[in-house]
Amino acid sequence: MTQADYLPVAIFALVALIFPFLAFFATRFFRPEKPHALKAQTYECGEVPRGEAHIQFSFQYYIFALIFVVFDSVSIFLLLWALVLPGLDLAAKVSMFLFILVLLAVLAHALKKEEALAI
Amino acid sequence: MTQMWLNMGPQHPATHGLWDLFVRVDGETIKEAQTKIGYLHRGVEKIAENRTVEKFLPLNDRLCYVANSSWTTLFVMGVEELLEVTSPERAQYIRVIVLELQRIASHLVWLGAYCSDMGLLTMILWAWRDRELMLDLFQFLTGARIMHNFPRVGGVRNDLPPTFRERALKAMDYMDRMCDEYELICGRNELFVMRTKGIGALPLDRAIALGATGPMLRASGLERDVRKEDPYLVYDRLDFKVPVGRNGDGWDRYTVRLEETRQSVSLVRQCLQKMPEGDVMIPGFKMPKVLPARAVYRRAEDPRGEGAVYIVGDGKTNRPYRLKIRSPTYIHLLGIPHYIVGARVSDVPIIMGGADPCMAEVDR
Amino acid sequence: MDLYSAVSGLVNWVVGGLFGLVEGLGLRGPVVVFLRDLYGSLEHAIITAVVAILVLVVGLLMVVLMLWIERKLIGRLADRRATMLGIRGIGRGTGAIQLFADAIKLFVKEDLAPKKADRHVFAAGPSILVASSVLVLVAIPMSEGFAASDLDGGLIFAMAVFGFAPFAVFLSGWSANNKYTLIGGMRSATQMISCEIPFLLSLVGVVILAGSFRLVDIVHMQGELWFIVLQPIAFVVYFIAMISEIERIPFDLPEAEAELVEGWQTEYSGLKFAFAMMSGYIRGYVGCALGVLLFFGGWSSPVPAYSVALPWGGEFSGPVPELWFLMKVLLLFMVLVWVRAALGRVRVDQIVNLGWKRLLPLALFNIALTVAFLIFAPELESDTLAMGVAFSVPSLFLVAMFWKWGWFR
Repeated sequence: MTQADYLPVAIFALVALIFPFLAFFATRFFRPEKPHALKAQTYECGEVPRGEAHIQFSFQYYIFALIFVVFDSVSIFLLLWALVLPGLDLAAKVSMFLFILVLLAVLAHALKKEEALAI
Repeated sequence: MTQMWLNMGPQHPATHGLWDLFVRVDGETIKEAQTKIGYLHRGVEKIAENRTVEKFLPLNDRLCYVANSSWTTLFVMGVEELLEVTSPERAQYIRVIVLELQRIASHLVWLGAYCSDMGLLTMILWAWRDRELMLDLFQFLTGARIMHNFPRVGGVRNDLPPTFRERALKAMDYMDRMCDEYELICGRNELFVMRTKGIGALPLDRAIALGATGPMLRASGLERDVRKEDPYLVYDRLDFKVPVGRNGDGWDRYTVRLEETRQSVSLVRQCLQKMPEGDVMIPGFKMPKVLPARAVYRRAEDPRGEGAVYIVGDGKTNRPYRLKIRSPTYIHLLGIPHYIVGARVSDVPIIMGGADPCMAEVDR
Repeated sequence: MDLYSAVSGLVNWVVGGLFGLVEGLGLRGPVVVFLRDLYGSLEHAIITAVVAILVLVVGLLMVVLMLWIERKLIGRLADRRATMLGIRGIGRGTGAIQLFADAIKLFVKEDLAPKKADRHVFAAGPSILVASSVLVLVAIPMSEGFAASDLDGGLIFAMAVFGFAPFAVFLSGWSANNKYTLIGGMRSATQMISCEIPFLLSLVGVVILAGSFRLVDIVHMQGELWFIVLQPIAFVVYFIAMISEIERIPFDLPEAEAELVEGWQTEYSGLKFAFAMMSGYIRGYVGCALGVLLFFGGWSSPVPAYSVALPWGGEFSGPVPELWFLMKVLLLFMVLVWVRAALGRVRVDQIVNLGWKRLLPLALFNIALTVAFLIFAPELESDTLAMGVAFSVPSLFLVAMFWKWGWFR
């Protein structure tokens, strides 16, 4: 991995960032600007909304979000392990399975807990 | 956690008309609901008091934009009962044909809307494509596709056109095949089952307590059909089954309505077979200048449930002194806030759709 | 690389011509010398930028093509003709210019924002979404030559950027201060936490077999046998999780139009709405392209090598690899359209259950199966056919049994 390899990525990231802003800027010259109080209203099926939407939203899958953080790092770990797998000895191959088994036990426990908590 | 009030309507893609279901949600779970009804109120019952019966007939078609003729027929039956006249047998058979075609068309619209509520957009186009056949038949028979204005006090406006029988039989054969196809794309579709089973379940005792009728009640497991228990027209001479469900959830509502479509197809066939020759209007019948000073209550099986009219004549004019229309979906919609609690926001369109609301008829 | 050498030849020719013109006009001096030096030092960056724009344009053209295919195919599946717009001479009755008409219309639409919205985040949301979607294109090689970059960790890079979109969706959903968009954004987060893990884990088996994160290497490893045969379970998991990642029916919960009006896009209009739609299709293209690269042999030709003598001389030995690649991508995308026409939308709790209780065990099981084969039957690797049978038959049998037991409900 060299810097030169990632130069296209950097330049592409620049292009990708500029592209929407440039396109959005370009519409300035074509789109109409006729502000109106009714246009600035929040859409809620034609009714005047009651209350704000910037509230403390009850996210019902909190436990999943917690185990997601764990599994997300585990999956990267697994991907790297998969990359070097042919070079590993048997113990290293098998110990990963033990690790996954432990994870599965944790997952089962978390899911059980989630079911008990489910609203 | 903070809860919020969310408007599901009136200008919402899911509501089948101008209806507002106002729900209080905690996350995505519904804690409380209110219905707001009346966006489409036109005062039909009051208009009826100021018009003669003949002049009011076309307005009956506007009661429900999906099942028009069923309301006109119901009103005409009520007036006939009030006047104590009986229309000829052939006219009654033609009325049954129109009613059952109307039921097929209405259930097709319902099925399409129900599927589009869960994102299955193919079905709505298929359903509306096949509904066109019914509309073609209506056009052939009555001259109009939606607003037929076909039944008359004392019969129907005209006899069947010459080749109507063949065309109708052909369309019914096609509908039989298509019902099997709907079964494939809905009933045997894993996602359709996942989304409807157990959603909006209405146990029988609660269904009765909330005044549910028609497919809603039958889905909950009670075999009750006005066509069977209080036969009108020639339904006592026809052979049909009344499908019932078990749990009253979205799935049962679907199975009941699909089976009803099949039964309607068979009813149209039977009518075309058994229909006698003869007049379609009482010969020499003239609408009397005075409605008798009595009251009648006539009910009929609308595609959505038990519809009824209560007509009071005043003995002086030929305008009804009072007309009361019992709309089945009005009662179903008022019941929804009671059993929607605990469902998720995603289930709202399915529960709404299960009641098959037709807002023109609800708000009148 | 082919693409780079072609572009560098072109750029050098144009720039050299310009300088030649300037010098031919007799303009010499420190400025011209400075510009020449500047060009000399920036040559590589300029060429890369041109390549980037080229790849971006190809990606956008793919979006146009895919949208047209989606409209026509879903129209046919629903027994209608779909868009017919066309002008005389340019595909009349085919809807060929419908998309351009749509694009122009959205381009000249007024840009509305609710008064109560957080204006800056509201505007940034679709831009971030589009930028992150476009950025994945850099890692997608269309063939050995036609690639913007050749990264060691191409697969990881693509996955990392690909998984960025729910963040932008969540931001724009929250910022609009509308209840539907809020719920839509929250659903996007839910969907991410339920399907991202199986999505990543489904790749582990492929990486074990390929032994590399470089997408070019992965394609080379499939020279004899596509990984769809060796890793059917991985493909099933990948496909389902990919539909969820690109938020299409049956997993388009964030924009469930039946209950949430238009979901997180409800308040967007004009170009911002166009961005939201476009990024969906770019992500669809990227998802299908990764699927083709990982499981369907990338740009390798599915038919055995052949060559036909052409009547005007020369030989024809199959279309160029880029064409094969695009054809495979479009075929895979057609399957997505088919799925969309045949299925409805799942519920939020159902997708969480699907991700954690169905796809995740399935992906882990696939890893175990792959490693077990490598440990206990390493001699199979020499015989591709035997390996294919040994891998796919038990996997397919198992999936069939799961299906029969109703485990996927």
